[in-house]
Amino acid sequence: MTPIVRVEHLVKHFTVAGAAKPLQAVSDVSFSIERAETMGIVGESGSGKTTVGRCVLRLIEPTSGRILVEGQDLSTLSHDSLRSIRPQMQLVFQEPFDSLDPQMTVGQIVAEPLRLHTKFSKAERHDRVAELLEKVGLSRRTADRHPHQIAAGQQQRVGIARAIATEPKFIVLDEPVSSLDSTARAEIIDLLIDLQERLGITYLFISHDLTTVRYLCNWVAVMYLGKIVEMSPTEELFEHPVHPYTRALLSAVPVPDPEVRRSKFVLKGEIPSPINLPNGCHLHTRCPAAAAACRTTIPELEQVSDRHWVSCIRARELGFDKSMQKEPSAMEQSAAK
Amino acid sequence: MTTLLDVRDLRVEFQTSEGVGSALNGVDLSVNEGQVLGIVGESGSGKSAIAMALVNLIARPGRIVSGSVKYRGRDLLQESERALQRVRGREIGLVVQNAKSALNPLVTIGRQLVNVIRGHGLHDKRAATERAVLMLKKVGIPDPETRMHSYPHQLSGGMAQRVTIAMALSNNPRLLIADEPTSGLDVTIQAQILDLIQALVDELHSATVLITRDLGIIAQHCEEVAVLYAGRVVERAPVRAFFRSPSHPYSETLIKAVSTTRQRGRKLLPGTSPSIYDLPSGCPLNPRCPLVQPICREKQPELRELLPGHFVRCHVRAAGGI
Repeated sequence: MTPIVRVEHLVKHFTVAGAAKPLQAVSDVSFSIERAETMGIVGESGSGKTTVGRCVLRLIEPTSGRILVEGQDLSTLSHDSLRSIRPQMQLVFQEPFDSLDPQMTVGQIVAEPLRLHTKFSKAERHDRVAELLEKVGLSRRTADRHPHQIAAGQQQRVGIARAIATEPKFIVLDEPVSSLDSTARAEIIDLLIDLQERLGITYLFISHDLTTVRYLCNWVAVMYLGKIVEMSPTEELFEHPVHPYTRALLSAVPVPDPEVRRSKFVLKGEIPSPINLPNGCHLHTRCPAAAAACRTTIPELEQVSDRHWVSCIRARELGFDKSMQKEPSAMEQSAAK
Repeated sequence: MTTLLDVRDLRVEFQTSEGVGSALNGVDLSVNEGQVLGIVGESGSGKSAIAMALVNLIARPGRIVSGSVKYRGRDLLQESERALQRVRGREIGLVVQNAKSALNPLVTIGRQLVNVIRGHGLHDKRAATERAVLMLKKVGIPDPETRMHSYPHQLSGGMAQRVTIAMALSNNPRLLIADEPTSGLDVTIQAQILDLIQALVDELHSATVLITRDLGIIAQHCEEVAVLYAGRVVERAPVRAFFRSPSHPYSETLIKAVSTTRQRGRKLLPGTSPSIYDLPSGCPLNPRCPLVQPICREKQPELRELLPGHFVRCHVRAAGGI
């Protein structure tokens, strides 16, 4: 299979007023996503995950690197040609309410991309809006309402209806459920899965919420200070994490099952500034497994098994973390029956 | 085990242009020493009203209509403001959701921390300062000595949140009430804060009321859970029993919503929580509930004990249905 999205050696530096050096938000990130699959990018504040999403859509200009969508290199496209392929690539934002114009009705919001990118007549747009609202589980009548008149979960459905209006092949989802209650969150995730299955859309899902990532994504890339430190299919990453940062991240997430107790893997101190990155491995200042060489050697993202990449010079020594494997809970056992 | 906090029939109303909203409609709770009680609920369930009501800090347009909040036998709702001030901050620590609004914008965070510590026992200034620095360090604030001189506006939201946690924990409270103490923090910092709260409970035998929307936090850090829906506790149970066999239809949906394994066509309750200004009659869940019976539309269910320590407020489940 050829991937629909391919990111090669993406770098993004920002100039910060008063700082002598640039802020290195993203340093040499590469990954690809197969059609109708979901790649999750996880990381904490300052990991660069949001910047990756914006660069991939070329909403901000990458410092260097290539972004190929269906073989077409976005980084070299002129603004006009970029605009002509915009309908193919959409973005869903974190705060549903802030990303919807409060003065427009839901119908106008969903019709906006159709007005900009299609030659539909007003009547055709009207029908298409009704169809889109139904697709995302909203009634046709919602079209006449304003964003503040509907609940947060419904607002995010409107954001999704707007994103799929032009039948995109690829959507970047930037923390689309983080501000929602858990039931609304689950409904939106189920909706995204359903749309992907019916419409064959490819997703890049950016999130700090590992529980949702595990549920939704086929692949996961873990980012720390602008770099991918580990990447593999989702279950592999959750069951056999290798990189110390991934282990720390997973051990920090409270599992919604009291029968499961994760072993503690705690990092020391604070995340360093992306303006003053540590030499060698970016994690060495905090890593409990750091060796002398970690202070000087910059680790490459290397393949450790069939579909598993890790950026850690001690990866082979550390091996897979067996302690992460959990015993199935009573709940899951009964669900399996 | 000694009961530290005993709440009976707590009712809170908000009077606004939308009318009278019932945020809490008769909440009963109790917390023992050395116990963490988790309260889980979604937006509009009354979670935050509980935190404020427990320390008698409901501000207008809200008011406490009735009920009692007994802390070591004293009803905090009947005490004078002066008496309450002696209890809050020293014996009862409170972490509110909006951290920045809880800090004085005109005073450095170091001074605010030192004031809290000195105002409640540790009078020596140097010792209080040392304790303040230590607390900032414990909540994971880098370079705490320098940070002591910062004003709240110079802190990020997450940093301000950690300062309020440091403040609430600084006098080793016997009771900690924390409303979403870690929402919006990165998971590694969240883990650090929750461990700190756990240490307070384990080492000093303090009691904690942890209000959250994260069932993961409930599962990993609480002994008992109370589920809040439309201002009522709809289920209360020991945590393991709750996850093994949730009894209220709303609890079932909450647990299904955080499943990590994909299920074909998982059925969640349709719709959203009702507005506190327009609660349905009878059981407030009835418009969304798949088990609904005629009685659910007419009569409020009572909280019934199904198994020892496991309470549910549901006509159908209390009668042993489905």
